[in-house]
Amino acid sequence: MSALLLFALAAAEVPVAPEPAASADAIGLDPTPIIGEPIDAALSGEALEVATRETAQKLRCPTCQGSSVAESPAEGARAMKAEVRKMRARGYSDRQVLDFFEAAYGEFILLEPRNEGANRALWYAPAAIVGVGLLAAAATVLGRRKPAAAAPSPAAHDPYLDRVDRELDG
Amino acid sequence: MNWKVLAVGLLLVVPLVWVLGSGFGNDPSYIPTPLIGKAAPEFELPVLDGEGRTVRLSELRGKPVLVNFWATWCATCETEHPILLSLARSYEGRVQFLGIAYLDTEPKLRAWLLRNGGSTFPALIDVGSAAAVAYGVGRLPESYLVDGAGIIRQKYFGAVNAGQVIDDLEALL
Repeated sequence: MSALLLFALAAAEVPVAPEPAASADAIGLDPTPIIGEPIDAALSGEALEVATRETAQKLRCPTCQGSSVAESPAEGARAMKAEVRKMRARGYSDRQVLDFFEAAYGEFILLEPRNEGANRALWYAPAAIVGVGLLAAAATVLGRRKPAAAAPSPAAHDPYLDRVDRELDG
Repeated sequence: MNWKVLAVGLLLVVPLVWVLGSGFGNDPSYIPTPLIGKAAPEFELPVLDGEGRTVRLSELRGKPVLVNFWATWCATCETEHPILLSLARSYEGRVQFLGIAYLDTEPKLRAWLLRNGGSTFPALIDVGSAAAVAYGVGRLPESYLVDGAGIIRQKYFGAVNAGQVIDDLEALL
């Protein structure tokens, strides 16, 4: 109990706001300084659930890498999903919510990296690798056919074989 | 030796080995923060057993604040707690320490604090986990050093290292 008393005394030394927090919304963080005012219409009901899922599917669960916030049962992911729902309900767009999470966690949090800068390599490298592979395969196939098509001309003799022929005849 | 094949092979294998090799020694659960050098997200959170009082980060401007995200279910937090208590005692009056309890309940927090020697700095309750999300918290414990102007100067991933925190605080004071 003395520990709690010590703790309560220490807490009293910190400047505190006079009004108690009434609800989670009342003390929730304001994303406006980071992503501006909501640009979409406020959502509720089924539309809100669909929008929440759409956005949460694009966010990586930070404690269970590889799965999205929408799919993960981890408590941290559920808290993130609740935050997504709160923001979509207020009218923040899918892009705005993703920007908010990216500002806090970095690009790591986006399951689909942005198609810009060095990330373009991630988007175009697979196509480029397939293209190079097809070219290599084509070159190999053509290379195999070439010797068969270009039969040695009668005039072209191997001096070594000519000598073997002569010795066999002689 | 077919030098062309060797060159193509090296061209493919060397970058791959470099990419894989560069990952050795890294903690795969570490999430680098983009918040260093940026304004610390503002929060106003209720104080555990604070009789309804809340703490607003912006009201602490003027001196450094060490914001520690912790929980009773986090084993490393138990190891870290004495270090934070010691640091808070050493820098009393010059640095404000704040603990923000993440994904936890008040009864568990009270029991944990009783078991672990109480606290010399306020424990705030992250209602709805909004603060943890705004600070990009992944795995606990995580701490952020905010300077007197409200700018995040450092993130400590895992239990804080007292030596590093002291160095960082001395650089700010």
